[in-house]
Amino acid sequence: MRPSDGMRTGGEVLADQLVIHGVRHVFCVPGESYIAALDGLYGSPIELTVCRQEGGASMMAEAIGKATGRPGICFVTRGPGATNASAGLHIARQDSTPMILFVGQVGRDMREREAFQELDYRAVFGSIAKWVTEIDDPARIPELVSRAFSIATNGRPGPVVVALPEDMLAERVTVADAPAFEPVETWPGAAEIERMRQLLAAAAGNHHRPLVGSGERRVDALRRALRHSAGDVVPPQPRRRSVASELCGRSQQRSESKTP
Amino acid sequence: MKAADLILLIGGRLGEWPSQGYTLLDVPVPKQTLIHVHPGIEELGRVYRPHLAIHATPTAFVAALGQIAAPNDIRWRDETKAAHADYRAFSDKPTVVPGPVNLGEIVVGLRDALPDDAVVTTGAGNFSIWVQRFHRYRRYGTQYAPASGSMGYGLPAAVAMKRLYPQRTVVAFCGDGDFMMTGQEFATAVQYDLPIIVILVDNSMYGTIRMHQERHHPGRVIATTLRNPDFAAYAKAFGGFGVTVEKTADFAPAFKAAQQSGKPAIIHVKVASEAITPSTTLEAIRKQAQAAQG
Repeated sequence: MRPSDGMRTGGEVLADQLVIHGVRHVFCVPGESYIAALDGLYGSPIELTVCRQEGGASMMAEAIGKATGRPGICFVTRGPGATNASAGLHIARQDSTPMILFVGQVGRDMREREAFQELDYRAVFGSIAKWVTEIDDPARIPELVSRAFSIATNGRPGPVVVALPEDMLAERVTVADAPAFEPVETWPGAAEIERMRQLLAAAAGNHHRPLVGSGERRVDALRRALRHSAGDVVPPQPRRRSVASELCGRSQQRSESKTP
Repeated sequence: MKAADLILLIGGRLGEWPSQGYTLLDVPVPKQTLIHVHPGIEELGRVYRPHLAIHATPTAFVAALGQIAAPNDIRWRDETKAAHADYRAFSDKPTVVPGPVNLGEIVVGLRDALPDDAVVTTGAGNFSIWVQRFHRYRRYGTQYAPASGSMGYGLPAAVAMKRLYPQRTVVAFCGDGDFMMTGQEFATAVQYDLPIIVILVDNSMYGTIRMHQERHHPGRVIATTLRNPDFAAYAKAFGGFGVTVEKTADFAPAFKAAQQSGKPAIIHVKVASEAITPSTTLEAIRKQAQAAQG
């Protein structure tokens, strides 16, 4: 039972934010560095899947991101947990999958001493993640977690790492929740559509073949739009065959020896 | 793609693999007219200088496509039909491979037996060539595989998809080396009662690397041979269902038994190491490389 004074631990604030952002599944390997975040999930409607090694946990979270288009969520402990989890994080990077890795961190009072399993996450994950942050004040959890969801999802989707100092998660605070994030669509302008019409008309005047490639999700609209059109549709990414299957019941990629 | 007049690239990046090592399009200025649509502003103009860059999410872009009338006169329809027939000839029927197990026949059998919404996951390795060539993904969101080429993905992806879609059939194709990279997560499938079916294709080697080894250093096998456990016994030891398949005809009953067990299952399929791809053998690759070396 949470106390009735309106104060929550950092771990509880974080768990509440995950529910607000629509998270249904969390994959983790537990660690003492984020025990207060686990406690925040106690009794939560989120389904927790406890895994045996962080590489598997991070790949599971990545698969959820692929399936839903919303960040897959993974919790791991500091040091060895984080380095194990880098396997799934790298997949999210190359596959453009929205994902958030929450990782434990040493207490704020002992950082920079290379304390037990301490890592500089910004340095370690700097070239894999779209953004790496560390939350020092539990009152800023709603702000920074909201930003993590936005960055992971918007533009080219990818992985975000959020480090959670152990004592920050246990600190009690009074703070309002942030509302649910919403993915942002970007639209082509009228001038771009007109220019594209001209280019397509010029190509159609030739004898050859326009080629359409799609490497993204949300294919239904694309299938509808292309129903009467002309070009061949191919998936430009290896292992994105179900996109092409949706579009035309076939695909033409033959990369037997190149893409095992 | 080299023959195309115009390429409309929606959401993709045409990275190393799909561009065949950046050879299909010239970098930075492609000969083909390139319209590149991508939601990430930093990706536009990153490798290729498109003739028209459109910063848009695929969903929004496709909705805007309605403003452009479809052409009436489609001159390449015959070529499209020929390409489709070509693809069907390539993927309809399994090829002949050495050994008593033909993975192509297994994939084709499953293709016809699995429901349209069945999820198929794979990791990385030559075993996945058969899945990519002969399986038909009939709905979006039925294929989970790492474009990054990471081994070990099939099993955890299957666990996640069975958690997300408990009612759907979830099949993981794994290689022997591939499976062992995350094989501990079979315990997670058992813990949460997730009746996924792992089809573990065992050729007792890191086959992809062995293939490249025979191409570049024929006959000099090093670091690619594996001595594996009994994976059916592994499944049983974890509390799942396990069965071994050593000839093609035994697969269908094994798959049925796996489904009927209601447990997470491993079907340990032992294939000949010579069957390195659907269309060539290790020996053929080695001889070709030796001949090239003279």
